[in-house]
Amino acid sequence: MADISGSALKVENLRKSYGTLKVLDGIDVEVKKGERVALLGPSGCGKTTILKIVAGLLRPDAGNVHMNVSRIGFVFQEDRLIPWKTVWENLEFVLPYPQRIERILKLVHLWDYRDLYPVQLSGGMKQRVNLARALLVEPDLLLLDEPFKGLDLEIKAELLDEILQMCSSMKVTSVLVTHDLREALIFADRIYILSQPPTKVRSIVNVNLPLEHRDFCDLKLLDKEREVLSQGFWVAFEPSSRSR
Amino acid sequence: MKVSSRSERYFKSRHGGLFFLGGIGLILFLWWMASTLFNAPLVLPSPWQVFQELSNMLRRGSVFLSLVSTFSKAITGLGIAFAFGVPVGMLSGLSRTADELLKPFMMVVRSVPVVSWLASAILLWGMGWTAPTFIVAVSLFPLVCFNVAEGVRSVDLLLVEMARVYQVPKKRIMVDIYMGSLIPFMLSAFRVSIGTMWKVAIVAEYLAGNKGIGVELSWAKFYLNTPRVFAYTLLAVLAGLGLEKFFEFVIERYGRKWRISLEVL
Repeated sequence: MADISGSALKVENLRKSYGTLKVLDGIDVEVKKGERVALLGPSGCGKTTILKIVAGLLRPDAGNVHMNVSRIGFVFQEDRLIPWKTVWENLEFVLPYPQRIERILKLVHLWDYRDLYPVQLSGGMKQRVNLARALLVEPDLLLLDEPFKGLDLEIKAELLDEILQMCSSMKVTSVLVTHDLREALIFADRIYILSQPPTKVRSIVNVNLPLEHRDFCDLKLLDKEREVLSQGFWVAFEPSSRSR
Repeated sequence: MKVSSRSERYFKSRHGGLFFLGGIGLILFLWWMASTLFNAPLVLPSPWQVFQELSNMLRRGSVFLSLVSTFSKAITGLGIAFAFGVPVGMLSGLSRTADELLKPFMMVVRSVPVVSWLASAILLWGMGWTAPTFIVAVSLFPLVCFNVAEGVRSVDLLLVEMARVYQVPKKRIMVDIYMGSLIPFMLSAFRVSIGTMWKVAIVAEYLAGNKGIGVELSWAKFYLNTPRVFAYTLLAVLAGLGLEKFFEFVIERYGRKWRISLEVL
């Protein structure tokens, strides 16, 4: 048993193949308690696979996942809301605690929409319900699988800011999967940059930015983005064979 | 813009209603023409003769007992078809092995002609209430089964995965996700069954019943009372349509949740 005191999650030498396609080729990730980590990599590099393995939805071919958490919240890429249930009923399905549902719905500004069905909500609102559902279980570990995919920049910025505020104020340990560097810089304390499959961790970036600078148009954030890019960030998105 | 489109719809619907009534008038006119040309009331009675017979029947009142008798058989048969069809359909939809195992059985149930079932049912239960009820059940069972199996197969597995992440109890997953997905398919099966059950019940009564519209039709034919045959047929059509409309109204009212959420029905 690995020593993971102080860590909420430790992934060691994770390997996974789909048929003959080798996706994960020895991934090591450590997330400390209360820390926000982003896994950044190109599409198809196995970012979601890592989250699914952590959530227990997939079995790795090799490697270990050590967790020091009891409840996991998962914000899925697709909203995964039950179409014939209202916003309230969707949350109640996961955890039937009315008081907590009320508090969370007010927190994500969806209280007035509690009786609507998913089909009556906009894309951004659906993702808010998705987030509310994840927060409802009061997770020790929040997994976010590209939750801003397909959203307008304005809604994306608003939602990202809300998630960031909630995660930092509630000190929720969280892992965000994204292929957008700026999203990762805004959200995370630490970014794991992944390569093309067979995927490895190419580098780890520490983002030392105070909350007030974590905005899409903030100059300090843009400087940080330039700095990461100048370190050869683009290499991660090239096929491994070429970058070696 | 909104107001004009609404008034346009209203105008259209009023016209739609007028055309519908015009259609009924046309049928009556053609019927009257044909009966006048044939001039053989034993083969084709005039609308007037049929309506007179129908009015006599309604005045006598016994016709309502026949209607109730047919309805009770039809609805019981439908209930039995759902009681067996839902679990079997679910099993078939959930497991490929079960589906393969059940396939020959379903093929037999689907392909055996109604009269063959009737022959066995008469030998087993004789003429009466049971045989027609059984025929309705056996005719609707494959339809219910097929729809339920399709419903189970259409369940969004991403929702099931979501429920697993949040450790939702299996019972809730079955009720809220699987049964929820099934509802539109069951409503569709129900809607089709309503029309079919009525017709099948009358045929089965005609051949193996001792009471009901089918039996009355059979007696009317036996005594060569063609206006009565037509009157019972008209009554059966009206009752069938009424039944369909009634259940459509119920589904519309109580299925609102599914209509909104899935944009179906």
